[in-house]
Amino acid sequence: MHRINFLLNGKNIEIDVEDHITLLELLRDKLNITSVKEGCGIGECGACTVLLDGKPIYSCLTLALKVDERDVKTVEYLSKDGSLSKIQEVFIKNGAVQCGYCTPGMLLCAYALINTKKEITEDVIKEAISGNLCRCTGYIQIIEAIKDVAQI
Amino acid sequence: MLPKFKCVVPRSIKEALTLLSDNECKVIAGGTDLLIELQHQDIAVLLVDVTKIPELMWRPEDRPFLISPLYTHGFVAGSAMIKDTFPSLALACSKVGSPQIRNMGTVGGNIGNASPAADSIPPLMIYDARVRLISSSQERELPLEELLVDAYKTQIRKDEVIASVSITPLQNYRQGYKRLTIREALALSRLSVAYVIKEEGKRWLDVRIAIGSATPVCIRARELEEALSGELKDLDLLNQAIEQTILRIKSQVNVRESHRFKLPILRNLLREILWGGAWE
Repeated sequence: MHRINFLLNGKNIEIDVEDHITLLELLRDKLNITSVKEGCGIGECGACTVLLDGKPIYSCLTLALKVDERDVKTVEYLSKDGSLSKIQEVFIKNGAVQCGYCTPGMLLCAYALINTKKEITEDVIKEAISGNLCRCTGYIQIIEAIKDVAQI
Repeated sequence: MLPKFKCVVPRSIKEALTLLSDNECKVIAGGTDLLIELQHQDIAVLLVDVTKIPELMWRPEDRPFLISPLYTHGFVAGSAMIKDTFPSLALACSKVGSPQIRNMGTVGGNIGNASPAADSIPPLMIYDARVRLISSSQERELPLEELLVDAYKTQIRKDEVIASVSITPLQNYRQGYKRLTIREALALSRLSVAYVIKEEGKRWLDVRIAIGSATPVCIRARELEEALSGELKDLDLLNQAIEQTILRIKSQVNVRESHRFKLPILRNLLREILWGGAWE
């Protein structure tokens, strides 16, 4: 058992975690953050993506104890006081949300991309979401939505 | 679901080495390979998470020719300094898995896991990587080529950790990394070639080639390097040298179905890389 301290969506969390529990299990089963999904469980589909110190990682392949003293963000971070962020609005406007299973991961990768100082092009967008599978949209609407928010 | 195991997070190298020498442990860094492996086992292991050990972490600006085993692939791919000094390595690391995997997986983990398809290994080999290993009783340094024994097998003992990887910079070389995958993103290398080539006019001055995913262990194509270095560029000579390498690969592995497509592509890739640009 490890006592860990970390920031979850800006709030300080102190909790005891078992050594073999993944970050995905901690978030869903103990902290009730069910936007983080288990898809493949082997680091290929991206449904479990969270931001660790601002960078996308797979929570299914991250031990919960590893986030001690670090900053974790899930899609809940993006909306404030019940209203959606711009990136979420453009996803809806562009039809980038269909079944919704990949959406939290896609939004977090898009958010992380927009927050980097990189020059954003269509290829850069494709690379940024290359670790996230979507079986509904064919990706076009998601790419269009991110282009929209990046204003390119 | 992972089996129940214990994981210790040492805060100093000394603490880590004591744990490793007193217990049956497995070292974990990014965990992208290890956790998948553990999902299929129900044996109890003790994991030692080395990612919070300050002695294993430094900035490239402070020790430019020494790669920290804890550098993630994403860090190596994005570091201006590494891109400038070791372009083949930075390029190879930018091809690993997906952005998420690159933010998790480390160079040390890539070496320790020793997958035949590891993207960082061929470029490390062309920069003559030497791996420093430490345990509570000993410190030693091995060339990466010697350290890798077989697919997923290395000379790293259970009580050792990778302390650093030293590589040699090369100036005025054409440097790069090419790989063959079933698609552009989120794919394992089916074949990869890291290269550094120094040329003058119509002469190859120095040629270094490492090939991944063709044999159980990534290889330096020494016979090809020796045949070409210092020679005038000649297509017949090049083709003969490439055939030497192909023969060596064939001799190292039994006939594989995948070689039916890999070997012709390897011939073409090597010709393209060494001839420099378009060829017929």
